[in-house]
Amino acid sequence: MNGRTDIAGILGSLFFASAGAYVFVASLGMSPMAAMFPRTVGAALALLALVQIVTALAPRLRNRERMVPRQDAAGEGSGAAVEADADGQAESRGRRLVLLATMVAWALLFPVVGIFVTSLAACIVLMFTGLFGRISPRRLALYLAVVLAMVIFFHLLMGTVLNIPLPRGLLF
Amino acid sequence: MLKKLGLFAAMIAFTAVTGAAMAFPDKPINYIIPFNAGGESDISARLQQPYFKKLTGQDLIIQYQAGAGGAQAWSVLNDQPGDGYTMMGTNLPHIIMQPMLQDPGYKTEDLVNIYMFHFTPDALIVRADSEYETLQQVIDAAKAAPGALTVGGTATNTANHLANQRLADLTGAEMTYIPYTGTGATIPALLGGEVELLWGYTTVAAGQGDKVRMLAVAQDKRHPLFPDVPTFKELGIDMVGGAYRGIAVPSSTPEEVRKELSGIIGKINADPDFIAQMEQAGFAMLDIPYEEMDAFMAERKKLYEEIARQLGSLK
Amino acid sequence: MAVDFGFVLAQAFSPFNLLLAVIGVVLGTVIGALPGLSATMAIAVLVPFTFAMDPASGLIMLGAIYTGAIYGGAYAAILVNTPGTPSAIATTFDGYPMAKRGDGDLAMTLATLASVVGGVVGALSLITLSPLLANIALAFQSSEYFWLAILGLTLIASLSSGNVLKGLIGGAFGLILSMIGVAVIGGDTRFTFGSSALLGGIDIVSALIGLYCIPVLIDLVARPDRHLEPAPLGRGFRLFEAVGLCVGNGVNLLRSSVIGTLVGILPGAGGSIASLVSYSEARRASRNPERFGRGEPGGLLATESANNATVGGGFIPTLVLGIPGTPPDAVILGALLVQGIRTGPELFTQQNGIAYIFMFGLLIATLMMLPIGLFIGRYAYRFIVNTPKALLVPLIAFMTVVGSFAIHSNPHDVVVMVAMGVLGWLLGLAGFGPSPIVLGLVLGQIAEQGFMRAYMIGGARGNFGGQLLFDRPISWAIVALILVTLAFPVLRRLRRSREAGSEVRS
Repeated sequence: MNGRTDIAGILGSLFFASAGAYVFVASLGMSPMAAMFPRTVGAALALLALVQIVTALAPRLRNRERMVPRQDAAGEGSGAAVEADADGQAESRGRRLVLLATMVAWALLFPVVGIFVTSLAACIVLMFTGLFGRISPRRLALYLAVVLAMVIFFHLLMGTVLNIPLPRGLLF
Repeated sequence: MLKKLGLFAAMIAFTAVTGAAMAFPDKPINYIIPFNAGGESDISARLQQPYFKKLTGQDLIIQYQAGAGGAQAWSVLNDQPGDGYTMMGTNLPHIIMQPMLQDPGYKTEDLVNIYMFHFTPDALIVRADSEYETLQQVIDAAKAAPGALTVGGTATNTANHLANQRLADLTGAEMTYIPYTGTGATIPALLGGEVELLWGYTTVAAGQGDKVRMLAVAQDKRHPLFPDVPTFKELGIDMVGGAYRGIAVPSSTPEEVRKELSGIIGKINADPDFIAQMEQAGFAMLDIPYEEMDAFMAERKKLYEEIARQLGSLK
Repeated sequence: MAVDFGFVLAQAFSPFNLLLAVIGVVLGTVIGALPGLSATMAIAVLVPFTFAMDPASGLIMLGAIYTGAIYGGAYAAILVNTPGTPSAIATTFDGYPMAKRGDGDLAMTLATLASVVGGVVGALSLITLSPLLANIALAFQSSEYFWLAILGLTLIASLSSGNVLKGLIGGAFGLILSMIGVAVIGGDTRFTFGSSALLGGIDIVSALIGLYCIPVLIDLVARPDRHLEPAPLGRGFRLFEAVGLCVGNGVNLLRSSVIGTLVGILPGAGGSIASLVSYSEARRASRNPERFGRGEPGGLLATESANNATVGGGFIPTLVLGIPGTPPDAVILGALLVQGIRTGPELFTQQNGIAYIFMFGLLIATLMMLPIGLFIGRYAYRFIVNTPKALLVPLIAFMTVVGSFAIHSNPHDVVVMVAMGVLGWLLGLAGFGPSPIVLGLVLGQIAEQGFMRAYMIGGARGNFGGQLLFDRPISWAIVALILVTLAFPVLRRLRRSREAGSEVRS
C-alpha cells in the first residue's frame, strides 16, 4: 500500500463527500426537528471525506496510513489475485462477477418468477461458481441432488414450519 | 411431549368429525400484525388467538411485520394469496391518514377490511404522584406557561399528536409534544419523569394500574373499567377519538370467504369471556362486520379529512 | 416471602419441564444460527402450543428458545462472519478471524462457555434483584440513551486503528443510512428517493447480512482454497484450553455479564449496545488491545457473555414493570397476558410462584446450553469446514436470501440486502470496512431520537444543558466512560513512545 496513492480510497471518499453534500442540501427543505441530525452528519461526512482525500494526496502523510484490519475479509481476495498469474486473476474476477450478477438477479426476480424456481436456478449457478477443478459425473450428480434437497428443505422450513408467506410469482 | 401428541390427535379427530360441516378453515391462518410485538394490536390478537382455536379448531399464527407505522405491511397485503388463510390487522386512523399525507405504497381503498373489533380511546395520563389531579389544573398550568409542560406520545402526525393539537385549539393549553417510537417507549418516559403527561390510550392506564392516573378520556361515555374518569365531553371539550383496530384480507379473497372470516371474528367478539378480558385490558368493544364496513369507513374518512386539513395548517 | 421454593424447584426440575427446556434450547440455537430468522419469530410461532400446556411449562419453553436463539447467533458470526442478529455484530470481530486461522473449534467452545456464564449472571440477577434493578429502566432517559449510543460509536475509533479517518467516514455514512424513512421526530420523509418501500427505513438485519456476508461469498468464489482452516483430526472440544482462557478472562467475563444485564434492563437498547459496549470495555482493559479484531479470545468472551446476559436483564422490566425490554420479551409478555398472569411486583410474591418457576426454568435452560451448545457447535463447525465449496456457496447465498426475506416477508428487504452487500464490497476495496457503517446504522436512531427528545424537553423547560448532561448524574458517568475510551489509546501511545524512545512502531 505504501508508496502508492490510494486511488480507490479517494474514489470512495468522493462518493462519501457527494453523499454528505446531498444530505446536507436535502436537509435544508426539512422541518427543523427532522433536519438537525442530517445537516450535522451530512456536513461532517462531506468534511471528513474531503480531509481524507487531501491526506491521501499529500505524500508526506501517506506513510501513516495502514490497512484497516476489519476489511481483511473483503481485501484478501484482491491480495491473492495479485499474486496469481494473469489467467487466474481473470478467472477469479469472472467468478466474482457471476456471483454478484446472480445475487442481483435472484433478489429482483424471485417475487416475479417465484421463490422456489429462482432459488433452485440461482443455487445451481452458484454451485458451479464455487466449483474448482474437475469432478466426476457421479459427484456432480450428488452435488446437484444436495442442492435440490437444500432448496426443498429451506422452502419447507420457511413456508410450512415458520408459516412465512412466500411469494408464488408466475411459477412457484 | 405426550401432551402435545395427544393434542394433535385430538385436533385431527376434531377436524375429521367436523370437516364436512366446516370446510373453512381447515388449516392454520396467518394473522399478520403490522407492528412490533407488545403493542395494542399484538395484545388483542393474542387474546383472540385461543377463542379462534376454540371456535374453528385451527391455530391463528401471529406474525410481526413492523415498519413505517404499519405501512410496510399494508403495502404488500394484496400480494398475498387471497385464499382466506392470510389476514392482517388494520388500524384507524393510520390507514386513512397515511395515504392522505404521503404515498405509503397503498391506498385506503386497497385494503379490504372485514371487521373492526375494538377501539382504544385517547386519554391524558399522569403519574400517580403527579401534582395534577384534574384536566383543568393542566390547562391552567399550560396557559400560565405556554409550552413549558411536556407531553409524550407516539411519533409525529399520529392520533396522539393530533389529540395534543386539538386540545390546544379548543382550550388554548399549549404543551410541548415529545414523540416516541411507540406506546411501549412512552411508558418508561412517563413513569421515569422525563415527561409530565402522556397522550395514551385507556389500555396504558389498565396495564399500569395504580402507578398512573387518567385525567380524561376521549370517549362518548365513561369507560366501564374507569367509572371515575370523566370524558373530555363532560368537561366541555369536544374531543372523541382514538385508535380503531380491525382485520383486512388480500383483495383477491372471494366474497364468501370474507363473510365467513368476518363471521368468525364477530363470534369471538361476542364471547362474554373475551369481552371481559378485553375490557379488563382497557379496550372498548366495537362491532363493525364486513357488511357495514363501507358505511363505517366512509364516515371515518370524512372525519379524518377534516383533521388532515388541520394538520396541513399545522405544518 | 410467601413463595414456597421447594415447590418452585420441584416444578422447574420436573422431567417434562426439563425436556421442554432441552427442546427449546436446541430449537432456539438452530433458529438463531440462521441469519434473518430471529428469536421473536420462533417464539411467536410457538406461543399457541404453549396454550395447551400449563403456564409454567409454556413459559420455560419460550425462555429456553429465547436464550438459545441469542446464543445461536454466534454460530453464523463465527463461521461465516455474518451476525444473524444485531447482538452478534461484535462476535464477528474476533470470532471469524479465529475460525479463519483454524481455531474455529476453540471459538465455538468459548462462545458456549461465555454464553452460559452471561446467561447465568443475567438469570441470577433476575431471580434475586429484579424489583431493585427494574428502576434502572426508569432512571435512563433520552439523554442517557444518546450518550450510550455515542459510547457505542467510540468503538469506531478502536476498530479502525489503522485509519481512523476512514472509520469515521464509514460511521457517518452509517448514521445517514439510519435516517432513511419517516422520521419519528418531525414526521418528515427522509432520503427515500420517492420509493414507498424505503419509508420503513433500511432494515438493520438485512443490512447486516448484506454488508458482512456478500463479501465473504465473493471471497469464497474468488479463490479455490478452503473457507476456514480445518482443525487437526482428533482434536476435541478444546474444553480445557477454553476453560483456562475463561479463568484468565474472569474479570472480563464478569464485567461483560454485568454490563449485559444492566443494558438488557433498558428497553430500546438491547443486545447490540450491550455487546458493543462490553467489547469496547474489554479492549480498553486488556493488556493487548492491538490483538482485538484479529482473533482475540477475550473479545469473543466479552460479546457473547454480554448478549446472553441481556436475556435475563430484559425480563426484569418485563416482569416487574410490564415494559418489555426486547421484542422477544414483548411476545412473552403477550403470552403471559393471555394466560391471565398480570405483571408487576406482585408477581414475585404470588403463592403459586409462577414467576420463580419461570426464572429457575430460564436458569436451567441456560445451564443446558453448555452440553447442547458444545455438541451442536462442534458439528456446526465441522459441517462448515468439511462442506465442499461448491455446496457451501449456494447454501450461504440461499441463507442470505431467505433470511433477509423472512424478516418482514418482504422481497424489498432482499434487494436492500444485495444492494448493501455490493456497496459494502466496493467500499471494502476502497479501504472502508463494514463495521463502522454498521455501528452508525444500528446506533443512529437511538442517538438521534435521544438527542432530539432531550433538546425538545430541555427547550420546554428552558434548560437544555441540564436536560442533556449537567443535571443528570448517569449521563456524567457515561460521558466519563466515553472520554476515558477516547483518551486511553492516546495515553497508551504516549507511554509506549516514551518507553521506546524515538523508535517508530511500524
